[in-house]
Amino acid sequence: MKKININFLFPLCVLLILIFALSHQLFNVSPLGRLLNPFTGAVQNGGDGELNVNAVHNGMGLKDSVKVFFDDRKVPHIYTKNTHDLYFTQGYVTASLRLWQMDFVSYAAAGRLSEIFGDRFLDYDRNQRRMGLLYAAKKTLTELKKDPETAGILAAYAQGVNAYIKQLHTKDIPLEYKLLDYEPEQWSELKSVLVMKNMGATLSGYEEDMIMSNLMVALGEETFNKLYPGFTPHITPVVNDTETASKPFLTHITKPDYLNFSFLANSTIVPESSFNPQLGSNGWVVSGKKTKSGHPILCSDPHLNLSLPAVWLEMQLSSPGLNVYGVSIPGTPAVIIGFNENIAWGTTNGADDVKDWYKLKITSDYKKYELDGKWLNLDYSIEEIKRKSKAPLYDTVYRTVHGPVVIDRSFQGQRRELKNYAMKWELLNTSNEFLTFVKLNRASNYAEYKDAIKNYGCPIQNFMFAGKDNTIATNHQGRLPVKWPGQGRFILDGTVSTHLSTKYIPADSMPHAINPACNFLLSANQHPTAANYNYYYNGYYKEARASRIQQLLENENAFDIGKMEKMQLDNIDAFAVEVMPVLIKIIDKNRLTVSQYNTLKGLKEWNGAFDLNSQNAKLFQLWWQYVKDYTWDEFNEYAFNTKVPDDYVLLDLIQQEPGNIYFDKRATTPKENASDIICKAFTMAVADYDSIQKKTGVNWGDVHKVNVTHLTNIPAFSRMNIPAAGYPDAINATSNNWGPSWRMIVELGDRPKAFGIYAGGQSGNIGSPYYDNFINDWNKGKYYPLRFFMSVKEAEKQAGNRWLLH
Amino acid sequence: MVATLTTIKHNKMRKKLPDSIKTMLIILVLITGTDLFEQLPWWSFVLPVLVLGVIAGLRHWQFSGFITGFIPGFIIWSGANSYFDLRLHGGVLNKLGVLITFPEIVVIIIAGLIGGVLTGLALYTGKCLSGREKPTDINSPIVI
Repeated sequence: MKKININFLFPLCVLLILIFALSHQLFNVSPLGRLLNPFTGAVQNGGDGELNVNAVHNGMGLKDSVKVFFDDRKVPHIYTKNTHDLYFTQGYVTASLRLWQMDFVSYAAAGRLSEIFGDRFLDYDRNQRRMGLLYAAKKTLTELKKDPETAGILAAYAQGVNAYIKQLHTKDIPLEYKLLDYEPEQWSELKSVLVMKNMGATLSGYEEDMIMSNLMVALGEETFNKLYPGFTPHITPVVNDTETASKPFLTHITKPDYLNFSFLANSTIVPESSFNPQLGSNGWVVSGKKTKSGHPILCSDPHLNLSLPAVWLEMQLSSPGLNVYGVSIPGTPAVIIGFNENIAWGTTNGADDVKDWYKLKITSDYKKYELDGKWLNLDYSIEEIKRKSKAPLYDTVYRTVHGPVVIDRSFQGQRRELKNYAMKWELLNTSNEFLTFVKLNRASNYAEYKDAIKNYGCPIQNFMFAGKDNTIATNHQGRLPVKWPGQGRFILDGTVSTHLSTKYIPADSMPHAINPACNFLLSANQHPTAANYNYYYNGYYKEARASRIQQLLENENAFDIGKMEKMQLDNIDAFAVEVMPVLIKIIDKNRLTVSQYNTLKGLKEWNGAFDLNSQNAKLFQLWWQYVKDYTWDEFNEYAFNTKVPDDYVLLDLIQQEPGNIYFDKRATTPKENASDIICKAFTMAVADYDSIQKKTGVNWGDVHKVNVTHLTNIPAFSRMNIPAAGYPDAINATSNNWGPSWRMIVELGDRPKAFGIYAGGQSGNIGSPYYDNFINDWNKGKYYPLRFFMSVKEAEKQAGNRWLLH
Repeated sequence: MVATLTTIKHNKMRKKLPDSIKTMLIILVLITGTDLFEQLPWWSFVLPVLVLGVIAGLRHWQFSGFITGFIPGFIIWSGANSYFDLRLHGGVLNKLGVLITFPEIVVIIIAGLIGGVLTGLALYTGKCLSGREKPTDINSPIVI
């Protein structure tokens, strides 16, 4: 009998095990076999794909032929013969440049990151589902589909993305998919809505209701209003109506009766919000009466997270009745900020509070909640959260008339103080922001601009407008609920319907201005109005940038593009300019050493600019931080996290009440005044400054580094530690990981002249030379001319390579 | 006696030489050819190599199963990675190196080892299937 040969079994088993191990992500190690295969793996993501070649793509599902021209910076200029093909091609081209980014953002918005990363992101996903972005996106999409124009555009865009995915070769799948071991999925209209909601969440997600509630109870009404006023004398409102008297309900908030220690019981520890309140923007527009050319100039620079791939994608869209240039958000149709032959527009964040929390009374079995003495059924839905290599998790999300109960007995996340509170967030309601931008893209005058923005709901934005006919305008646009004074600034009582806001401020009563006498308008996340508005509102406004912009716009009457560039790159912090003389005047120089005195003399010469080589900027920053720390040391003793009062409040206190109790340091026996702590703060700042000088140097660029971080936070795919000029409170508002994400200047006229730049590159492909090629120029303050072609013939003559799609 | 044994071994080596080279050349073609079919899984190249091992065993080709597979596998995976990285100017391997805190060359060597080991094992398994390779041969000296 022949003996069976089993020698092959062992090597075969080893082979199979190896193939399995190298095909899957194990212990957070990428599937190395797939990743390092030289023919389909990571190395194939090098290069620029078809960005430098002429290409023809057939069988796409277009109604007519389409031409896409790429200029030297690989900005696509899309020419189509009908609307369907326009948005189809926008989807196709966007996917070819940014597929992974747009897909990933849709996962993050929907709370689906566990599908990619496993249980590490389970809490994030649960929180995201409970916040309700996916729920709201589905609801919104149902409404959007009732509008044939919006439905058609979203469908065409999705078809375009899917046409790209369908013809995508394995080797060309973006590197992140290979690295994280998953595949691109079909695009859908829902994903576009999710991407839009995600941007809305970034801009309107911040709130501090619990912090303010605790502070109101702890400080009492008088002190609270003094330290956290709704308005200060330092504001430069977006819309300045000087003829109306101020409204007391805007400047002084009466402590609500229900707000007391008992109401806030079990709500003491408040972690910091995961949303960034600093994110904002600058925008201003100048009439031709203040420009050299006689044509209006519009400037816009939204401040967002600096990421790779970048938030924005530059493009020109052209079809019958439309020819627009600007930046789009990958994953959504149309141009978001840009210009056409007749108008230019930009947006800045309105920074209003549109997210409120309601304390509920819920039965222990989570079946009923109380409202106006009646027990109502607690609605719920079950969310399926898929997990990588594991069975899905089914999470029950409860909802009341107010909104979702984000934190409950089964999920505490990072905000356990909000257990059994309902969240009312304007973002969760339906509105058609897509139609706003679609209409803006083709608007040709102020009336059409107004018609376009009327659809816009959330997040509230300050739209800036310039028309070729020299009309300039701004609108604080969005749905702002009508509230009683203080409503929404503090935790609300969910058991009474009187705490629910049910109406919105009428559209014609929203702050707006057109062709003001000063011939300019500006917005920089400051208060939308002075303290004389007819309705109560609150928000998270910033004043220093607006003050500086106002000053610069007032002082010049012959603006041109060069002067606007200089303005956008202005590094001066208006607050620093205002506070420095006060500090220097009040400091007791006799208590300084000779060395400290000489350092102070140097600082005296400083103009408040956070320039790259400024040696005083860091010293000021240290000094002011110590002044704040010493003044507000009382706040450290509270059991809850606090937010210290605004810088302008402290400045007023120093000038008007130098003997105020807050200047007395708790840890010392003598009673300090403002002069004492300013002097002490200076000596401490100088000591720190000298220490930093020895370690890294004290030029602002030595200590102020910008990171443009890949969405996965992988440093190898990011640009880290870039020495940068600017400061969050300067017009050039750079920070560690956010800043001017798209600088744009447009001068209208017979033909628009436009310049712009963003921190990134057109391609989302890590291996492409166009991945991050704008960053160095962006950091140096350079601008690129934006090549707006007036016709397809111009594009054919001047553009580089082209794609033909059929 | 010792001299005779040495002569026999030497002759055997000379006889093995053409089979080894022939096999390696075929493997180079097989791996490259298989990988042209992008829709196949990344590991598909091991199948034709395994079949080659069976055929070579049945035809009594003389070579060390593992090493003869390892060398072309290593060359293709490391060489092609280096080639594409240079040609496409992407610097992707360098970025992967930064990711694992090693220089680019380490990434190329890891790629080579993966290609080499899988190809070697596939060829060796094939040869074992034909019944012409003994498991101990996996430790044979390099004979080419």
